[in-house]
Amino acid sequence: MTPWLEQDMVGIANAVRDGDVTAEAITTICLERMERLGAAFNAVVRIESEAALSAAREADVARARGKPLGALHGVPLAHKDIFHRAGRPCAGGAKICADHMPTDTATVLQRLDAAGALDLGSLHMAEFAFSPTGYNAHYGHGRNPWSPAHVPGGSSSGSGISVAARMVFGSLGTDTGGSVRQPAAMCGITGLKPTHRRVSTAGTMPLSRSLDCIGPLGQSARDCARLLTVIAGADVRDGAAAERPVPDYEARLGESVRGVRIARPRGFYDDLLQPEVRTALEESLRVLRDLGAVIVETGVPDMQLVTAANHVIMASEAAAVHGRWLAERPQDYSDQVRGRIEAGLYYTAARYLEAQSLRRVLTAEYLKAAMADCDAIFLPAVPIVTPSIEETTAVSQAAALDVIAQVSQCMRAINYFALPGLSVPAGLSSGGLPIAFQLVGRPFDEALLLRLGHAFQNVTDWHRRIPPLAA
Amino acid sequence: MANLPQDEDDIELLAAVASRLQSSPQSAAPERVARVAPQVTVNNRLVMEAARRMLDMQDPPDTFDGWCRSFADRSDA
Repeated sequence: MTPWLEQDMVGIANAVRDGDVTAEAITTICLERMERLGAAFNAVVRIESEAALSAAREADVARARGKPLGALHGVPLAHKDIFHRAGRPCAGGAKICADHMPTDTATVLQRLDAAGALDLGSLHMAEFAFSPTGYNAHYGHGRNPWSPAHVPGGSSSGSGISVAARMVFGSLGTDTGGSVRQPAAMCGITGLKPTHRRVSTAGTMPLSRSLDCIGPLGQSARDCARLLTVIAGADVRDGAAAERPVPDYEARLGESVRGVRIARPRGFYDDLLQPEVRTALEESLRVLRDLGAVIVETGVPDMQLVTAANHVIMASEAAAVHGRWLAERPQDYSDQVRGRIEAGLYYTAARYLEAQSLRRVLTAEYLKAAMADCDAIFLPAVPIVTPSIEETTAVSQAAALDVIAQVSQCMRAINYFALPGLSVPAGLSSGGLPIAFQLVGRPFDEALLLRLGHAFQNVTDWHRRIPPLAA
Repeated sequence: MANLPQDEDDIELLAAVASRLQSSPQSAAPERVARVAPQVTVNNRLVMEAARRMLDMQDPPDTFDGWCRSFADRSDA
C-alpha cells in the first residue's frame, strides 16, 4: 500500500498543495481501490472515473499556474448516495428512487466543489437512510472492512467503509439518529454530527427534517474540522440553516484541553455497556485525564420519554415524506423499512406538536443532569461490540430489532436534543472490531468537541489503524 | 356502547387509521396496524402525559423552527 494512504485528509491536501504528489496520481490510486475494495465490501454505488480524473488533471494544471487553491484542492472524496448532483442518479439506497435523476446539486457538494475537492462517486447506504447497521434489502448489506461478516454501521455505511479502507480521504453522510456516528464508530474512523441547522440540507433527500443533519466522516478530528468549515453556514436555499458565523474549526485544534470539564453520565449508559467496550472507554477517560481534562460523574434523566418523543417525530416526518409512495408503491419497500415508516401514519398532529414542544424542556433537563457544569459529555458511541450481519438479519425479527436498538441507543436522543456529537476511535475488540466513544457538546460548540478529539488523537493511534484486509 | 373503545389513545389510533384508509389502504391493513399499534400507543401516552405535565399551557406549544431560532441565539442553552 502506498504511504500516501497513511495520510489523513488534511495531510493529503497539504501534499497536493505543496506539489509532493499530484491530484491525478492520488486519484488514480483511490479509483483503483474503489473498484477493488468497493466491490469486496459492497461500499460503492457508482464510480465516476472519467470525470474524477479529468477534474484531478485540471486541479494539477491550476496549481502549476499558480491559481488560488481551496482548502480541499485535489483531494479525492466520495459521498453517501443521498446528495443530489445535477445529472447524476441519486437513489437514496431505495428501489423506489432507482431512476431518480436530480436536476439540482446539494449545497454541501457545491461547497466542496468550490473548495477544490474531487468527487469520485456515490456510496452505499441503507434504504432511505433507515438502518443503523447498513442493512439494505435491495442492494445488499454493506460489509465491515475489519471483518466482512460484520455490519459496517449505517445508514452512511459506504462512507464509513470507504474512509476506513482508504478508498477516499473523507466523506459526507447524514445523521438522523446516529447515521454518521455509527458507521464511524464501527469502521474505526472519526465522524461528526453537527448541531441541527449548522449545515444546510438543501438538495439532500430527507428522512426526518427536524432531526436530519449532514456531517463529515474522516480519519481524524482535524479532517472533520476542515470538512465542517467548508460545508457549514447559512444558505439561501435552506431557510432553516443557522445564520451564525462559521468559525475556522481547525484554528484552535491545537489548544490545550487542560482544565476542560468532561461529564461522564452514569446509569442509563452504563447499563448497556458490554465489558470490552467498558474497558476501552475507561482507558480513553484515563487518556483524557492525563491530558489535563477533568472528568466529572453526572446522571441522566429518564430517557424513556425522550425515546418516545423522538419516535413520534421521526416516524411522523418520514411518513409525510413517504405518503404517496406508501400508497402507490408499498411493495417496493423492504418490509423492515416500510414498517418503521408506517408507524408515522398513526400519530396525530397534536402528538407530533407536543413531541416537538417537549424538546426544549427535555433538552434543558438532559443538559442539567448529564452535562451539569461541564463543557462536554463523554458517552459510549455504540455500547456493544459490532454485531455480525447474521445477528441482525438471520434471527427472529424481535431479536434483530433488539440488537439494532442497542446499536443506536446512545445516539438517537442527541438528534432529538439537536446537539453536536463526535465519534472517536478508542480501541479494538478481541475480535478485531473497532470501539469508539462519543463526545457531546452544547449547541454550536463543535469546536470544543473537535479540540478534545484532536488532543486524544495526538496521543493515540486508533484512528490511524488500517483494516488488515484493506492494507 | 360497550364495544366502542374507551381509552383516549385507542380512540386516537382508530381515528388515525380511519383517516389513512383513503390514502394508504395497504398500510391500514389490520395485520400491519397490529404490528405498529403497541409502540404507537405507548409513545402516544408518554408524550401526551408529559405534555400535560410539563408544558405551561399559558405558553402554547411552539414550532420546532421557533425553538431552533431561540436555541441558535444561545450557546449556553
